[in-house]
Amino acid sequence: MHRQTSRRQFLTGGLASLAPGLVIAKGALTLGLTPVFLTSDRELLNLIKHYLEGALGSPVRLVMRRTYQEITTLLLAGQLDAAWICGYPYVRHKADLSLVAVPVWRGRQLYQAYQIVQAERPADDLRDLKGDIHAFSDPDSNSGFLVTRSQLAAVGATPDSFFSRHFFTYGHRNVVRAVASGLARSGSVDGYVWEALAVAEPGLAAQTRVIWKSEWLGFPPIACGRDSVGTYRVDALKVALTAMNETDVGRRALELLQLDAFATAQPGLFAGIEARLKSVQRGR
Amino acid sequence: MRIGALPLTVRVPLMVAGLMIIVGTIASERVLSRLAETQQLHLRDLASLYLDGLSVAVLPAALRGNVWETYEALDRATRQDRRLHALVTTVVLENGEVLASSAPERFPTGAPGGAAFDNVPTADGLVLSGASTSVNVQAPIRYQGDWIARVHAELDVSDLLAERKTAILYLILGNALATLVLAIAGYFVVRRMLRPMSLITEHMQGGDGAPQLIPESEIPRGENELSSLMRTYNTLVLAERERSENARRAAEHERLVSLGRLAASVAHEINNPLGGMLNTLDTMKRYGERPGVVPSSIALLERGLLGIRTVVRALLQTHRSDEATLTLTTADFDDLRLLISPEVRRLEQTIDWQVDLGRTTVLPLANGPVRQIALNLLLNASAAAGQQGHVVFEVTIESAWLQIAVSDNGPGVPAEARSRLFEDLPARDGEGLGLGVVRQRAAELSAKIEIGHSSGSHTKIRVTIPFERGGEEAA
Repeated sequence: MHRQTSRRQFLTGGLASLAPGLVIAKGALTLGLTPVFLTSDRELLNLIKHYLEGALGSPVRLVMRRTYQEITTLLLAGQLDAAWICGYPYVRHKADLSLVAVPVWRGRQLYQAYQIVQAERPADDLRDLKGDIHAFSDPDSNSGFLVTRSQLAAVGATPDSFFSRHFFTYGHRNVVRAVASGLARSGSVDGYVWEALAVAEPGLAAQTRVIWKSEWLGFPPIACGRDSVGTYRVDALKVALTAMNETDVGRRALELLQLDAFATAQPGLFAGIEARLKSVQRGR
Repeated sequence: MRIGALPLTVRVPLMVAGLMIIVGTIASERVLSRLAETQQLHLRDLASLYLDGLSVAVLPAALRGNVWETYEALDRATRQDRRLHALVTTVVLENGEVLASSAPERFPTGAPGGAAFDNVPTADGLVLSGASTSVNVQAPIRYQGDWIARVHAELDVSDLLAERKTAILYLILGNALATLVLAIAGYFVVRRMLRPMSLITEHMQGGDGAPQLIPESEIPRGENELSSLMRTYNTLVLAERERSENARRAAEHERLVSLGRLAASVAHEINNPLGGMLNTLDTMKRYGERPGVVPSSIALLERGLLGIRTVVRALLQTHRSDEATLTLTTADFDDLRLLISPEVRRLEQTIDWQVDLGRTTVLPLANGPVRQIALNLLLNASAAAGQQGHVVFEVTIESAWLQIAVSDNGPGVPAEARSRLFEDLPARDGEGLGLGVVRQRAAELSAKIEIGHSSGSHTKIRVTIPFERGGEEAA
């Protein structure tokens, strides 16, 4: 405990001095990012990189891939120090992964999964979506796939049997676009992303309508490999993330992300997702 | 107003202007059709490039049947703000099913492509008709030589059409303006060039119908075609005046010659009774006291004097100045016979006298000119027929005309004499004498003169004289 405190004090000092290479000796810190948030906005990425490099006093490399699976695989293979992944892969690989930090959104580390349709379409719940062309976000996404899949499993259906056709857009914003354009009749989307879009791109979000919201589930976490737990790099990252709202750059990044802060969390936060996964596995 | 009725100075400039307009129209048409061809080629190239790019972009997604990535590629391509952009792009799989479209509402994923994608040309067959602001085009998406799908685009060609419209507008305006300017300039230039022509025309028509000389001050300076033309014209006018004067003098001379011959003939006619009368007087002087001599001598003298009086009266009638009375009768022709008979006898000729006025006694014609025409024709025929010749004199009435025909068995009318019947030319001595008088008198009476041949190869001159107006009823 004492050690952690002194580390934080040290980091705060590091932030002030902005002296690179003092904290992390060997190479850049690699942080994987999935398309969990809005877009690969250059400004946002630069802010995160700038903040972390300042906070850690070392170079940071942000690694982006098209799918959750690619990032998860890199993380499990030890190619990344940490990655912002979804709760679903975290739960699946819980044995090999450890939580670094979880975002705080609207005061809680929780979010919901939404099912959306075109704004003017008269549909009330999942039953009305039968036979649709349905847009999922990612096969490794909780809100963008697992939740709807478990909903269907509960009635003995699968996406293939329930929808006439379904496809993955590999991005929650793309799900909203697919539904808004009419490419898909309905979609499964991250509630946090939809709400954030409603603020950032109200025109796009307004073309869709939320017909169902899931229970509150654990917010997509930043995780590291089990082997990295307790390493100086990961601990420094954890401190930097949880202190993000303490600097201007960090606050600006959080503002763009529409998040309150990052905070530490316990694995129990993802019990809901685990339950969903189990219900799907039972349904097989 | 017919174009032919316009003066040359207006007609030629108008024709020049018209030609300018025709040339301008043809040039515009050529440019426009070339523009249309160029635009079409341009469109084909652009469409080909566009579809090639799109095919490359969607190939990986189409190959995997990935709806979202195909849509993203199509959507991006459709949103690009290029000169040529697509309104809708769609990828149709080999089985005819829509994989994705940038307009999913119109062409939903999984739906059969249907008629919308049939008979759509490739870029090479694209036609820019102008009937619609968009054209449909498609291209195959190939992978390792096989075609796995086709990309279909509805291209917005409104920019191209607007460009064409603008070009047409500018071209028409520009050409119309240029043509108008050229036409107006052409009109005035040609009009100016033709101005000397109108000057000549004005002088040709003159004040009283006779050609007038162009004053030296109005002739363009320098030696060019126009000044030489005007000078030649002036020379012609002078020559014409001289010729007219000569002709007038000749006609006068001819009349006198004709009159002289007639006088000789008449003198001969008077001479015969005169000789008889002198003999009678001599007889009276010598044998006056013998009974019965005086009365018979007086009778002889009286006959002789009456004969002279008839001849003189006939002569007077023919040449009297009072020609206005419209009272031609058979007696006029009898007088003519009397006047010609001395000449006929002298030349031992035979004359066939056929005067047939039907039941008409008085004709509505001035007898003076008619008698002069007939007498001159008879004298001319008699002269042409020669010694022991034959002359035919025919007078008939044809509804509203009097027809006088004189034929003879002479050698025919020489070309020069013939032309004198129709033209105002001076006569040479002895040839066609009196024909000029015939022409003049005939012209006064609006009569028509014809030369031909009667049966027996006689030369025949026929004069057809219309009755005077207002006198037709009397006929």
